[in-house]
Amino acid sequence: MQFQFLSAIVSTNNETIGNPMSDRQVILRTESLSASFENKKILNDINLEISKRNIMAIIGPSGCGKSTLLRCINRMHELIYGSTLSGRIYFENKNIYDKSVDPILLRRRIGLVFQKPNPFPSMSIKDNVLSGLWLTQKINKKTDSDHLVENALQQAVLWDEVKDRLDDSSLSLSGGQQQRLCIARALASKPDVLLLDEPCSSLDPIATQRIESLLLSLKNTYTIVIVTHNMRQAARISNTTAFLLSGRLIEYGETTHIFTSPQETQTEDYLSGHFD
Amino acid sequence: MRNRNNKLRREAIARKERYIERAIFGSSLLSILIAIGIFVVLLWGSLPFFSEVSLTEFFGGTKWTPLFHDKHFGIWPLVTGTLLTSAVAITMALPFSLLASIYLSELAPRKHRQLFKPIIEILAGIPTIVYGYFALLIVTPWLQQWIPDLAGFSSLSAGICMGIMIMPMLITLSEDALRAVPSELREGSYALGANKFTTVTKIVLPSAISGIGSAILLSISRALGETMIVAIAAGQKPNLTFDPRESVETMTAYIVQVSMGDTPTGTVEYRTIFAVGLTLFGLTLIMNLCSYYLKQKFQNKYASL
Repeated sequence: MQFQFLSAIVSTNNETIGNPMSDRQVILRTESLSASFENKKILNDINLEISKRNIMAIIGPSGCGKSTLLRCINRMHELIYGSTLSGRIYFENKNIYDKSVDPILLRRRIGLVFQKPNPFPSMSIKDNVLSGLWLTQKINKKTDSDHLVENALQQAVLWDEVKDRLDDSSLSLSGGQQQRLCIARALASKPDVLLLDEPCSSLDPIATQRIESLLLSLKNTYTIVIVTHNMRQAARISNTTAFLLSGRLIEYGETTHIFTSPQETQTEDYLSGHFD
Repeated sequence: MRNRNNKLRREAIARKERYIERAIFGSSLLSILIAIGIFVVLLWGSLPFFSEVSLTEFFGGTKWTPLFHDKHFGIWPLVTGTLLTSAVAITMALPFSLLASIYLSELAPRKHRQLFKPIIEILAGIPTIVYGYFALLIVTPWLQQWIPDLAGFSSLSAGICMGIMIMPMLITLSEDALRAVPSELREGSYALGANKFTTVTKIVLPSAISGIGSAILLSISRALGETMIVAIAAGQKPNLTFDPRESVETMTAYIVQVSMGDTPTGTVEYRTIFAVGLTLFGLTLIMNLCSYYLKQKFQNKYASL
C-alpha cells in the first residue's frame, strides 16, 4: 500500500522535475569508499555517482551509514576521534582524499547543513549569515555586506520573516527558521554542493514543507545531496535516490525508477515498509 | 488479611522515606544555616566596633593604625593591599590559564590531556603555606636581581605565587566552560571551511565567554580570601599604594596578625577583625554573585541547543 502511495508521489513530482540522469554531468563520484569508526565498519565499498545541479536523496534505515557517507564527502568524517577511511571520492575529477587537497578549502565548496539547527549563539542573525565568509577571511567586519545578507536570506526564503530584526540573536528564531538560517549561512559562502543531513527531522510539517520548496528552488544552481529517513520526502523532492542498508549501497538511480521498479528486493522491502 | 498486610508494609516504607527525606533536607539546611551563622557572627562582632568608630571613618579614612597609640581606622590601605595582590595574581594567572584551558579542551590529543590533567590537579593540592615560603625565599630574591628596589616583602612576589596557586582552579573552570560549548558549533564552523584557529578564536571562545568570565571572578574571589601566602610574603604594613614593589598588608593578613598577637579581647583593636572580616565577606560575596549571574547566563544560552 505504502509502496503504491510513494509511487504516486514520484509520478506527480516527475512531471515537474523529470530530467534524465544520463544528460547530466557527474560532479561527485565515490570509488570503493569504506569508512569505520573505532574498528566498526560503517560504510562498505560504496561506488556512487552524483550528478550536477540535481537533488540526490540518500535513504535507508537508521544506522545504515547515510550521515557518515555525507560527512565523508566534505571530509568531516575525519574530524571524529577514532575514525578511519579508505577509497576515493572524486570531486570534479579530483580525488579529495589526495594529499594535495586541503580539507578546509574543500569544505568551502561543499557545504553541510546538520540535522539539528546549529546557528552560532554568539552572533546576530546577520552575522550568522556572514559567518562562513567571516570565518574564512573573505570579508571583515567593515565590509559592506548588506546585499550578501539579503541575497542569502532571500534564497533561503527567510528574508521576509527576519528583515526587520537582523541584529537580533539567532536564538530568538524558531527551529524551522534556525534551520533556514543555517542553509542561508551555507549558501552565503557560495558552495557548489550543498549536503543536508536530515535537515527536517527536528521540524514541524509546515517548516519541513518550507525547506522542501526551498531546496526545489535551489536545485538549478546547486548540487544538493539530502539524507532523509522520510521516504515521502525523498520521493517529493529528489531526482535521484540512493538506498543504503547496513553500510552497503544497495542501489541508486532515478527516483522514479527506484520508487516504481526497484531492481533489488531489499529496496522493495524497505520501500514497502518492511524495515525501520 | 493479605491486603491489610500490604497496606501496613506500604505505610512503613512511606514512613521510612519521609525520615530519609527529612535527613537529606536537614543536611542541606545545615549548610545554609552555617553560612547565615557566620554572617550573623561577623555582623554581631562588628556592631560594637561601629558604635565606637563611625562608618565614615571606616570607609573614608586612608590610614589603618588600630594597633598603634595614635589609632586610625581607615580600611582603604587594607582594601588596596588586597586588591593589589589579587590583581597581580590574576594578571599573572589569566594568560597562562586561558591558553592552557584552550589547549586542554580544544587541541590536546587524548594522551596529553590524560597526562596534564592530574599534574594540574596536584598543583591544586599544594598547601598554600608552601607557596608562601616559595614566594619569600625563592621568588623575592630572584625578582630582586631584576628589580633592585623590590622590598623584602612585596605584593608582586606574593601576587605571583598566588597566581600560580589559582591557576589550576582557573584552568579547570575555564576548560569546563569551553567544553560546555556544544560540539555542533565547532562542526558548524568546520563545515563552513574555517580552520582550527578561527574556530577556537571566533566561535568557541566567544560562545564560552560568560563561562570564562564566571571562572575568572571565582578565581579572583579565591585570591581575595587567600591568607597564608600574603601573610608570609606580602608584609604586614598597611600601605595605601598601587606600587607592586612595596610591602602591603591585606585584610586577611591583618586578621591573622590580630588573631595571633596579644591583642586583648573586648577592645576596639580586637573588634576590628570582625569589621574587616565583614568587608572581605562583602567583597567576595559580590564577586561570587557576579560569577553566579554570568554562569546562569552561560547555561541559559545553551539550554535551547
